[in-house]
Amino acid sequence: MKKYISLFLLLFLATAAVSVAQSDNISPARKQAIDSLALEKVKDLSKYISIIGSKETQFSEANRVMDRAEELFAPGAEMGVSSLNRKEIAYYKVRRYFERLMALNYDRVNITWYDIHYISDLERQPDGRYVGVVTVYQRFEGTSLESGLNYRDTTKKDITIYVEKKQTQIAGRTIEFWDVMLGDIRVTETSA
Amino acid sequence: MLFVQYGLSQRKNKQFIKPKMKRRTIQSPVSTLLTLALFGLLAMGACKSKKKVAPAPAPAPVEQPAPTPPPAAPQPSAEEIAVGKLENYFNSIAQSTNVDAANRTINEALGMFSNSQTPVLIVIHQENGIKDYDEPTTIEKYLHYLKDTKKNLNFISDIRLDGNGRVTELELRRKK
Repeated sequence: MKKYISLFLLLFLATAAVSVAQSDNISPARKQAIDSLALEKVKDLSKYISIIGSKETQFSEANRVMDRAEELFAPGAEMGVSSLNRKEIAYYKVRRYFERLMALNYDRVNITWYDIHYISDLERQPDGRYVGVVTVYQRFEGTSLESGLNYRDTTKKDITIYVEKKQTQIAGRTIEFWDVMLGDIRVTETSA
Repeated sequence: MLFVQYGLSQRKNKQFIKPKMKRRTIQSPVSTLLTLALFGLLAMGACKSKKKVAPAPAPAPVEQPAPTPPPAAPQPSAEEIAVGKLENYFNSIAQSTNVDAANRTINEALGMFSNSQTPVLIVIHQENGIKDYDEPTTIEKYLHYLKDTKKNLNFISDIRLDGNGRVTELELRRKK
């Protein structure tokens, strides 16, 4: 009897291994499409941050964009904030970060992200998710017209990316899609 | 000696030939007549051929079938018209530099849909008939996305309309 049980276990493990290997079989073109999709989400976030931070953005628009930006993140994700005036890096939940960004005490705020690229390619994890890291450079410029106070800095930030295959129902059909979620955004460098 | 012999034989030959030639001149009127007759026949033939070259009477007009008008260009379907309009809206929203103008265009475009929550599927890749999708969104979110990001990366690859001609589902695809 023991012999049969061990044989059954062996067969089960072999089947599981084959199915995992098959599901991991993603062609380079398909992987490229997923990489591009994830990178596009980061670029979208850069646009959203620029809109939220801009003093020209209407309140209702900024709130709507905050909702869209928040949807890009995994639950509980945090954003690092640094300054040339202090050594510590503060971390805020993304929604709190957006609200603070919108309320910054400047008359003009200009935020641009550039040189957005992978520093660690998306790799499949044992749980089936793909995880990678994208780095970005952020140029921040805040101007106060009355006090003439200007603040500028450039920060390098690393963003963890999670990509997972999910399913949803659309008009009675099951649609499989790639869900891209941004994780914590860590500040790695701050310069003038 | 040989020369003398040769000269003699030539003279003999001449004597032999002369009477023959005379006989021919006796028969010449007959051959002249024959020749004339031949010429006459040839001339008649020539006249005949000239007649052939002369412009023939115009053939009786053959009734030509009336030229069929070119087949009318097939009328664009309701789906094709909707796709054209929507592509214009998408471009207009993505290129808009004024938020209010973009919002007006968004409201106009939303009028084409059964509701603002109409699903929008975006195909990011297709291989062996299997489509890879981005996370499904709604038309309202997608139109605002075009306004916020100012990029129109997709084209309409499939559209579904209801009985009132309103869009009930949209499938987009990444432009190459």
